[in-house]
Amino acid sequence: MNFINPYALFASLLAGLIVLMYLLKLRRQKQEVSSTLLWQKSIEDLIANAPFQKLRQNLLMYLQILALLAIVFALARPTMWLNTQLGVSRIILIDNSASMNATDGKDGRSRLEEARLIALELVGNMRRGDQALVATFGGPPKVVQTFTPEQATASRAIRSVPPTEATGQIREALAMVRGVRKAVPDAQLTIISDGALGYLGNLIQKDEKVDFFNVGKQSDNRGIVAFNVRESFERRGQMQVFAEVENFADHESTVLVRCLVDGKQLAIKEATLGPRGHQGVVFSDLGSANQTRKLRVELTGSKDLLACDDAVQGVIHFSDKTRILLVSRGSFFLERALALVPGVTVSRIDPDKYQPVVDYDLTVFDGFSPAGLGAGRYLFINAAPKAEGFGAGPAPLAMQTVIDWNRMHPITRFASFDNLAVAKALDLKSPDWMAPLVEGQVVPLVLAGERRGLRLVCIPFDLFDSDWPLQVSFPIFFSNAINWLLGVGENSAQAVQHATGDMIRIEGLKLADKEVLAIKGPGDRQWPMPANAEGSVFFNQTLATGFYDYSVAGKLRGSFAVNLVSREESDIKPMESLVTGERKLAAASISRQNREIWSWLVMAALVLLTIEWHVYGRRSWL
Amino acid sequence: MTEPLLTPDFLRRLDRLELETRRVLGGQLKGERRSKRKGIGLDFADHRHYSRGDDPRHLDWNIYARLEKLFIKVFHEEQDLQCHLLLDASKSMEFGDPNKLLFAKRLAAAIAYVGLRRQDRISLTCFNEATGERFGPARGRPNIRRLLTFLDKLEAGGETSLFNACRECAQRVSTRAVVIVVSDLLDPAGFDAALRQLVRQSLDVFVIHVLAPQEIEPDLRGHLELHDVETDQRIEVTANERLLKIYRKHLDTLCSAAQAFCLRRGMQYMLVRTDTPIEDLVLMRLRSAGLMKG
Repeated sequence: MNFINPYALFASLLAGLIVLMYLLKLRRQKQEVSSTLLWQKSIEDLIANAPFQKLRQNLLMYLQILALLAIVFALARPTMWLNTQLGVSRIILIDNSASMNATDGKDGRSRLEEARLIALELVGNMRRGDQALVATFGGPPKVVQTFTPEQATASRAIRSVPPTEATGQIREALAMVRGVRKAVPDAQLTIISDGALGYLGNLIQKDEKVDFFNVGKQSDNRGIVAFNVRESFERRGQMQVFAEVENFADHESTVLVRCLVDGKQLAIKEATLGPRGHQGVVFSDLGSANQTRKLRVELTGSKDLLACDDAVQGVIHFSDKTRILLVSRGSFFLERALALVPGVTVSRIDPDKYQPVVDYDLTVFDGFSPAGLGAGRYLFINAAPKAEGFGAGPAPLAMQTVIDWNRMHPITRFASFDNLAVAKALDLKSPDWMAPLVEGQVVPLVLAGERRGLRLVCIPFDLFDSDWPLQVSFPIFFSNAINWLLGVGENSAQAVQHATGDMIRIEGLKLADKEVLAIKGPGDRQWPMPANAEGSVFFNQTLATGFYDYSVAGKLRGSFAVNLVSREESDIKPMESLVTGERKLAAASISRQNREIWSWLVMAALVLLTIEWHVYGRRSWL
Repeated sequence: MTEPLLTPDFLRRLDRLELETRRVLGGQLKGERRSKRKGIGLDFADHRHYSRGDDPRHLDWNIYARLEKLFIKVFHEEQDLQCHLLLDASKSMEFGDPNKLLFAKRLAAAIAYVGLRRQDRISLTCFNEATGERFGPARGRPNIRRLLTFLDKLEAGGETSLFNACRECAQRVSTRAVVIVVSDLLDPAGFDAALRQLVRQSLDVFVIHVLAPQEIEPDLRGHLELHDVETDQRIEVTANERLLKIYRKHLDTLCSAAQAFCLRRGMQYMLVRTDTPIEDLVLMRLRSAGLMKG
């Protein structure tokens, strides 16, 4: 005879417990009587001493029979058709991204709540020896619970999964799963999501054990999928807001787009959107932005399933005129290029008269490199910065042509370097943090980088040794470079609004000892953040949309905004399957299979025995 | 100082009583009791014709002078009464409030006192397996104090042996006598075989069944371990209404069986609770039962 669970035989030791119960019941009060003769006869009348008697209604007998039946059934190892989805080791990836806040579940439940229920059911069906890992990927992937064989622990972790308004980072989550699979190769991956995951590529291999459970039923949503703030082209100094509204429902819808500045309504516009249609809305005349203003664009007049994409916000701040110091012996083209940048005042001095000053936002060194370069923003032309990691070779390099350039970088964007030819260039050695933007044959011809408060752009050749000033890319490059160096982009709403889940760096904090930066987010949540040695704070708790204010010792130091602005998340139409490469994962459902229920019967037997003992103790039915 | 078995007042009331038997019982000695037997005595009873062999001293010469016929004067013969008291002194009698043994001792003392005062022959046997002490036979008032002292010292002990006591009594009593059995009849061997010993001797038997109120209406509830003070036996019961009902049924059966047994065999049966005043029992119930008169 074989036993599936021989350890259960140890349960026979419970017989000792039953004996103990019967021993306990023998505590009786002693009573003297003249004779037990009549009592003996009375008891004999109660307990017939004949081998057989008429069957009497005895609750004890029924309880004992029920207990016996329960135990016999338990020994028979019965099975029952129940919900299960089994695996030895299961990695449960729960999507808690913004789209999972859509409330199209049963009884108004959100998709995340539905996902939690599925995960709880999966964990509830764990067998002895199974284990589960719970992770989320709304924003940066996060392991909520490492592998645990305990259902209660896993269930607790699942219930604690918070909703976020971040985009789902399934790619990063799957990379994390790959790491987990190195330790547990046979782990079964279960993704519980509404399918708003974006392009998955070949992230999931053919032979990987993956289940996909989808949640969500409807697609009735309208959201703001693009947002920008910029200076008006027509009216310098005036700000404009652009917002793109998209309808993800299969029916036409009309929404009201409202723009608020510092909480006051500036304008409201109506947008009629066809099925899965979109429309751009522009708000002008926000006024000049010489002060920090909080801007909010929101959709009203149409109720949908997802709320967190119905509003975007930004913080606008334009400083006064930017001052640039040009340290040069004279460069016509350079001066002209700098002067073309709007809102900039350029001052030139000779290198001999240069003194490090702090009054300028940017310093351009042309053929000159000062000693003791401190924190700041610098553009070096035909000179190697005197800083750690920089240097110049003894001989200049002749005839350098462009091999390739970075078309995505803000500095080289919109500029073409195809025809740039450089007659002579420095053999510039640069540290690793300097990124080459324009690659020459031997050395980079344009480099840019940022480290410890130092923001640099290097052009290791003399402008007059090239034909660049005569090319269209010249003024565009300098405009881009100055904007990047000055952080012009950062001063627009584009920079001070971040995507949910982003890591945000707040720089230039000069905090006293034990002083912390207090960041206050939506819902009055607060995070005290200490600054690092460089006076920077890295903040990654940007999982909710809204304004974030940061202050030191109660004094407001700045604000930034966090928005969803994600077409993938706003498009809440549930996916029936996940497509990764050649593989298509159809949505699974909780399957059923035989599962033993003997433990329930043993529990019933124990309960019945307890009642039986209680009844026997009372002897009320005798 | 322990309470005397019989109070002076009760003794004075007992002085007026005498033992009575429903049957003509022949004593061995002359006594103060006018028996139903005709013979030599003081009280004139009747005349009868003289027949040969009669004592000429009893001829009534006055009648002969008047009628010239010989008549003999017949007198009520005065005889004593043999009374045997069988007193149960087993451990089971040492129970109850009022105590059964004390009650039985008082009852025996009262009956014996009446007998001794009337010159009856009184013997008292305490039956239990351990002792089997006996008093008498004794006759006459001087033995009253000895009797009371004997009863005072009597203590319960051992198991009931009603059968042995009755058989011994039956063997010992050669003539007719009154036998009074005072017991709780809680003998594991039963009472019928024992009492049957007395029936064969044609004795005038009184069975006084003594039970304590706690035995008739036991005030027991809950889970109990009952300890038999006589046999040291222990049994576990859960006293509930149902069990008590069955107990009362068995007790009724015991009493009814004893009464029926006695009635069928010409014995007198009397069930007595120990909370019955001894005066009421002796002066009223025993008189009405025909054991006492006066």
